[in-house]
Amino acid sequence: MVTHSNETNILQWYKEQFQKFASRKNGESEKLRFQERLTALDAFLERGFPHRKDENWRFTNIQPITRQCFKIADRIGSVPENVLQQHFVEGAYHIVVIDGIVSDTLSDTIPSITVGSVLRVINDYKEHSHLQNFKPLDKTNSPFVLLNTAFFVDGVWIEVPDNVELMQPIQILFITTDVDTPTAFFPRNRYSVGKQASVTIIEKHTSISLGEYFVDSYTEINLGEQASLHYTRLFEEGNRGYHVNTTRIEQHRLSSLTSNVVVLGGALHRNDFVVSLAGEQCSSELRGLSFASGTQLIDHHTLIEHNYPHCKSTQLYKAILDGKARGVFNGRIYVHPQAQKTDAQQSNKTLLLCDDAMMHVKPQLEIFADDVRCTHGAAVGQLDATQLFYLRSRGVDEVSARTLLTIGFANEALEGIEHLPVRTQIENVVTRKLEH
Amino acid sequence: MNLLEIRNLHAEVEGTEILRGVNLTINVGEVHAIMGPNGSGKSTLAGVLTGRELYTITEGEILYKGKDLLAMTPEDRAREGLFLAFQYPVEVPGVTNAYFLKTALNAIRKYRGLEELDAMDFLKLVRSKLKLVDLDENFLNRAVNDGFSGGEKKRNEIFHMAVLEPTLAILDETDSGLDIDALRIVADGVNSLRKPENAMLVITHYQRLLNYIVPDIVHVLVDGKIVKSGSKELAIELEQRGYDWVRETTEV
Ligand SMILES: Nc1ncnc2c1ncn2[C@@H]1O[C@H](COP(=O)(O)OP(=O)(O)OP(=O)(O)O)[C@@H](O)[C@H]1O
Ligand SMILES: [Mg+2]
Repeated sequence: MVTHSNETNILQWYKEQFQKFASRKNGESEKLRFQERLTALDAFLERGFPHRKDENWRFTNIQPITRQCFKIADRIGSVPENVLQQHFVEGAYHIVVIDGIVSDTLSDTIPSITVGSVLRVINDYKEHSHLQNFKPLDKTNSPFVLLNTAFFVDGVWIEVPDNVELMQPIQILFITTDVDTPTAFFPRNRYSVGKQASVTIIEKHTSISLGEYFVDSYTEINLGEQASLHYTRLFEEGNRGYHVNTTRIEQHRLSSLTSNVVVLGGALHRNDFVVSLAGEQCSSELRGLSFASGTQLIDHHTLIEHNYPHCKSTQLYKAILDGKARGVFNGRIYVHPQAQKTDAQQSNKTLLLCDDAMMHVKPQLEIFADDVRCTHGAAVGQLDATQLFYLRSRGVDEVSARTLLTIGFANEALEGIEHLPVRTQIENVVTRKLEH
Repeated sequence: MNLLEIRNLHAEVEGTEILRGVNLTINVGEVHAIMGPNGSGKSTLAGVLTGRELYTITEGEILYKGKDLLAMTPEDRAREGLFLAFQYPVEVPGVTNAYFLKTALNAIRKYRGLEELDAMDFLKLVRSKLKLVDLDENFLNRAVNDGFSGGEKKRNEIFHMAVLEPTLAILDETDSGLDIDALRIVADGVNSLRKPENAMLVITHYQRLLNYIVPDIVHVLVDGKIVKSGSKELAIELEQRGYDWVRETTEV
């Protein structure tokens, strides 16, 4: 492993890697996309990785990602069948993404909707039509989105046509296999939910790798008028995994979003979630649960853009921090002047299981309309002694009582997950983690 | 047989002495009532018996089934059959009544070497106990006491008691906050749980409850001491004459 201590070297590394990557991409049919990769790379090289001096990265030290050279993933490993089964939830369609590449053989086909590899769907379209499906590159995007744009190979494409209500959830399993050198993966997904269509998408991000790896994922979602999306994400990366996820959702008139993001694993997790309300009367319900122990760091940055009147957004993000873990929640709400009658609520609650753990909370309300209701609140506390005694006085031992109360604390952040097997799976992981 | 024996118990909270030499013996099969003015130390006594960490014992001892009760953890006391129906039942958001109760019951059963109940058997058991206190089945899936009305919380405590079947149950003002019908229901429920091998300690302000749950002995606790004990008629007399009468007739 080559270790570079200075920033120029690490940028140089990605530049060289891109040249190798480009030669592999020689046959890439659409030149325009290649041009976009180049532009993104140049923008990235110019900006460099974010620094702790950047307000958006103040509490998040990304050195584990920037102090070493990650190889760009160039092979697909294999995952034992029983491991896959273990991650699959019952009663859902399964899409499997291994090392950033959609596996056709392991994935279900789903009646009445388009689903599969982003790459193939793009290639199937007539020349350059993909440009209508992806937003043009925005050079002001985070450096991680730029890097993803330069290097992405594949990801999941879901297109739910207008008026289609998919009853059975779609579960996407993103799994990275064991790596011998530190490796980087750049999955990129695009989901489009048509007018009056409705779907439940469940993502699970995990790994069977014991080695160090870095996932830089980017997901773009579009909700048509009156569309409805139940979106649950579970991040359970390995102990030596670093994951930076950026997700942007654009919601059109009368659409509704229920989002639950649960982060349990990974040495470092950064989650940027942008919801842009691009039509009247949208509703967005966001819930988050982080559970970090040891020296884990989990950072949630949310941005809700209220661009139109009469929209409602709620955010409830909860964190459980044990050991020397660090948590960050930065909740930004931006209300444009024309977005009258906006109802935006934000709440952050943290349970500290250990005195050495620490939480940084920053609400950021930027309100430029006058007839709105915007609230925010944050609370950091420990388990309640009276509740603990109450449980023990009925025969529950202290450790179990603590577990019970911690799960109880977590439960509020899991509301909205309607597919019971997912909820059970999450509760089990939380319980197991508590018992460690 | 002697189930509980409290000898010269002194306890303090944050440096203030609350219990100042309590002596009390309860035999199996007996129902004892404790009455006393606000702040006299009734809930403190209940808290000390069940092992609440808030209190420091400065003197005295408590024998339960011949064992040193003060040396036991709260959970072991419960597993040995001690139960407290709280004056202020605690809300536990996010934890369902059923899940909590199943965990508690199975912990107790395990301690006693009994097989743990599975979901089906548990449900069968709790359904019958819910009827005892006239609680709807949906209370099973609601978070413990979360958003319950005052009376529902009290009934829920007795429901827990019915499921856990304690040897010594302490009811701390279970009657306060109950309407007339609910009082009757709860009292009937409690009475149906009376067994020759069990005992009860009923803390109350009102003689009315003692018409339903008839005590063998009534104690009056004033300023951290039991100043008078007598038959159930003592409760009637107290109601008529007030606590000043007790204070005057005894030296505290
Ligand atoms: N945590 C505490 N800190 C300080 N004082 C306390 C604390 N807990 C109880 N006390 C005091 O101890 C005394 C006894 O309280 P306790 O609750 O035992 O009374 P009680 O007899 O149950 O009264 P009530 O009939 O009102 O329920 C009161 O004066 C109360 O203020
Ligand atoms: Mg009291």
